[in-house]
Amino acid sequence: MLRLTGVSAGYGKTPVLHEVSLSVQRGGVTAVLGANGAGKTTTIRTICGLLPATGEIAIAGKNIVGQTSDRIARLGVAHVPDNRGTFIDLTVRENLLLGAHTRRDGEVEGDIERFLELFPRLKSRIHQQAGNLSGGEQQMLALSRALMLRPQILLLDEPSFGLAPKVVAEIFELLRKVKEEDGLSVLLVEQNARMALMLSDKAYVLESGKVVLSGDSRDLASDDAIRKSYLGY
Amino acid sequence: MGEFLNQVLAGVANGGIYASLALALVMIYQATQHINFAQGEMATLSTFGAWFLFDAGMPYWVVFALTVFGSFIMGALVERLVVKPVGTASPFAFIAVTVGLLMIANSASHWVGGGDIREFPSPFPGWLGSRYLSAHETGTILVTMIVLVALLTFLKRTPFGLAMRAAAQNPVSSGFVGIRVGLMLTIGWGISAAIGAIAGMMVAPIAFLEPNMMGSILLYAFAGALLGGINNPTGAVIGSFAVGIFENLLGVYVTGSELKLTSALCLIVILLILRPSGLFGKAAVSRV
Ligand SMILES: Nc1ncnc2c1ncn2[C@@H]1O[C@H](COP(=O)(O)OP(=O)(O)OP(=O)(O)O)[C@@H](O)[C@H]1O
Ligand SMILES: [Mg+2]
Repeated sequence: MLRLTGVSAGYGKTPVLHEVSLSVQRGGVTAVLGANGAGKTTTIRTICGLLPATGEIAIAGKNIVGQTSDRIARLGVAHVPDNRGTFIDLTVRENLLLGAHTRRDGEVEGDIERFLELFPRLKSRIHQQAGNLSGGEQQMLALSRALMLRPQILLLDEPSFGLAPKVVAEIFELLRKVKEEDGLSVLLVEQNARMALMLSDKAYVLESGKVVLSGDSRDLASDDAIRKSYLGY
Repeated sequence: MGEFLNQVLAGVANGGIYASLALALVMIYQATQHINFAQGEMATLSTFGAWFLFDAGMPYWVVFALTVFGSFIMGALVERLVVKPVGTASPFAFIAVTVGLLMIANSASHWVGGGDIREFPSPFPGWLGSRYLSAHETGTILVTMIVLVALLTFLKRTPFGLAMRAAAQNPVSSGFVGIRVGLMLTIGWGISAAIGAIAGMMVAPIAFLEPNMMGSILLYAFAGALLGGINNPTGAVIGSFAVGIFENLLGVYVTGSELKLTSALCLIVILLILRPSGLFGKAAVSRV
């Protein structure tokens, strides 16, 4: 579904990613793990077209390097950025509607209902300014907004960051559900390696912008040496 | 008392004029989160265009439609050819660009119009007039209300309007949901230039058409928009009427007409200090 081949990218003159190669299967979940500053967010930003890159980034076989972020979104790539990307001056409902901006089908209202059922806390705040939501609520909104796109692939940047364990569990549960029901492919960036390895089928570990380890999530999680030295749990 | 009422109504008439231009300012603010200082001069230039179409013998509403459409194109081109290349990374760059545009549009008006003062027709039939407001004043208020409703419908009720507001507020996130941010800016400039053209065609029959026609009106419209809330079309219209009444009463009963403009300036400064989001505007929430 998504394949990066020898991708290098950076900010201005500062290179950050060095020849990163990774892939997400159709309907699969790939986790990208690594310490602070390893280049996880940079990887996602590069896929979204925010940073100039060399190498190849293919969505369903089509190279997207050099395309603008709105065109990449219209190819079915949705993104939950690390800052949640909330439209703070707009209402919760307007945020959800924006998620469906690229869609022309008549099922948008139905999808909004669906996410409001899943996140009742959003429902009670549907007409409030989204900037007034709590961090956890904004994370739920960001995830719902991304899914409103009916994406082929979802890029998630630390969905658990700063959230209470209960909310994290809720969000991961939803991801599992959507993945199964809609056949969604997911690229999941996480510091919470334990959670990420449970949800994913494949995992990569980044260090200083390079892939230093990759494999089946189950194998990585069951290897004590790897867990201790790379995953820190 | 009758005299006082007359002065209030004269203020309402002025307010209708300010409101029409204030809506153009609100539109550009919704699309860019900035004020276009050239809004008035661009409107004047549009109105000169209309004058030449009249001069060529076209009927009023044909000219009106052509001018609105032509101004949309002008606004869109200005964004593509001038604003975008310069970049608006800093608010200062945006101000510099629009002040530059102000001077360019003003010179262009001088160039096409010369120093002549021209009469400009009003389309409104006499029966619209009453003891208190002339036909043109009543018509202007009506047109402003129509523009207001159209703008509110566009911004609040259409996906396109929502995308435009989103693109202005958060361009990065807008890209993530597939909004073509650059296109939104271009169209936003086009729409605000079109609204400005309508304002210009409403002003010209009263003020006569000359290159500096909109100068002071922009200031009052700005004061009105700030008073009511630059991100709130309804508020900006109410604010403009309030400024029209305030300005007129002040001129007649307190300061004399020379200080009216100064008082509008003072109002702007006071508002910017006390309540930058306006009386009806939503203050931006920021959560860090
Ligand atoms: N806007 C930027 N400009 C310049 N350098 C940046 C920028 N953003 C990140 N970097 C640098 O790129 C490197 C990778 O950062 P990145 O944000 O991708 O890390 P990360 O793996 O997401 O870390 P974290 O877990 O803390 O979110 C870091 O060395 C960082 O200093
Ligand atoms: Mg990060």
